Amino acid sequence: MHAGDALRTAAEAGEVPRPRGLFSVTADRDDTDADLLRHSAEGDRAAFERLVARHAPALYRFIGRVCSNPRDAEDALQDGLLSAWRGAPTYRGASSVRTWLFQIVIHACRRLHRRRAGEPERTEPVEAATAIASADPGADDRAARRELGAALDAALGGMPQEAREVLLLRDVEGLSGEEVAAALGISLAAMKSRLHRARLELKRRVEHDLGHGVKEMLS
Amino acid sequence: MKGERVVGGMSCTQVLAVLSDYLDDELAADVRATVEAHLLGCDACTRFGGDLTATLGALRAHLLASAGLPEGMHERFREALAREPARRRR
Repeated sequence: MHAGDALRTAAEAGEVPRPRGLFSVTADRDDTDADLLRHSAEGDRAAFERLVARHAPALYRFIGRVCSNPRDAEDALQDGLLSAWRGAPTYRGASSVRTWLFQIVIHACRRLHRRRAGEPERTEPVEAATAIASADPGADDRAARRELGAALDAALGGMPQEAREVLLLRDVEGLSGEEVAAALGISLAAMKSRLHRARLELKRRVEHDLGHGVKEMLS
Repeated sequence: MKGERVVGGMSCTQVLAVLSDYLDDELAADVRATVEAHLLGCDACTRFGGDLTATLGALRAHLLASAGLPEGMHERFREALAREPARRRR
């Protein structure tokens, strides 16, 4: 039987094989995060790979902006994910699995920073988006959005790590205030205070770079 | 903040202090109403809040559009995971 015929037959039987690959986006939608983590705790590596497939893009998007260079970001993410695998049997459900994963990756990044302390700074530009998504970008619009993207990258990169962490978790990854506080290991009140200062600082830096407010640029 | 005055029962400084909670819809109803009364009468604070909201929205859009995982990363992680010792069944 030709390979294509076998695939069509399998599809007709509802048995289309899922794409392979650790970070395939087709993680089993029937399993909750808690289910996958429970199976992982029992030694099921495939279940852990599916859990990672769901969350690795967001985790890397976060850690890529917290760490000072892409190599450190990958090292921290891998270190964090291995810690999650080893720590899966200790998960008790006090926070969501997503929050727990962010917490572990944050710790991994901080460990890496402590190890790197004293080494010469290896800052490399994080690969930036080429443009902010736009429904109908004309040439001028694309140039303006590239300018805004560059200003955002520079502003974020120049802020203290704890400010980047809280901004990224709350305003990019969309964790709730309680989840952000849990991931960072601080009180809700401390998180809110840190977030407010970080938001104002981001706005100040971006507007200083652009010479005007962001709303004017997007209107 | 420039042009600070008391509008709707709050000063601009007071509005700024609770602006994040306002944007996150975490204010008590009465405080939220007072903030909104101030915003209705204060162009400076309305502009500030609008720019802050736009900045945060632009940040999210910019980062969500960024490149995905580095090439080869999943293979490297899979290899590292495979080297982890098997769990002992309890």
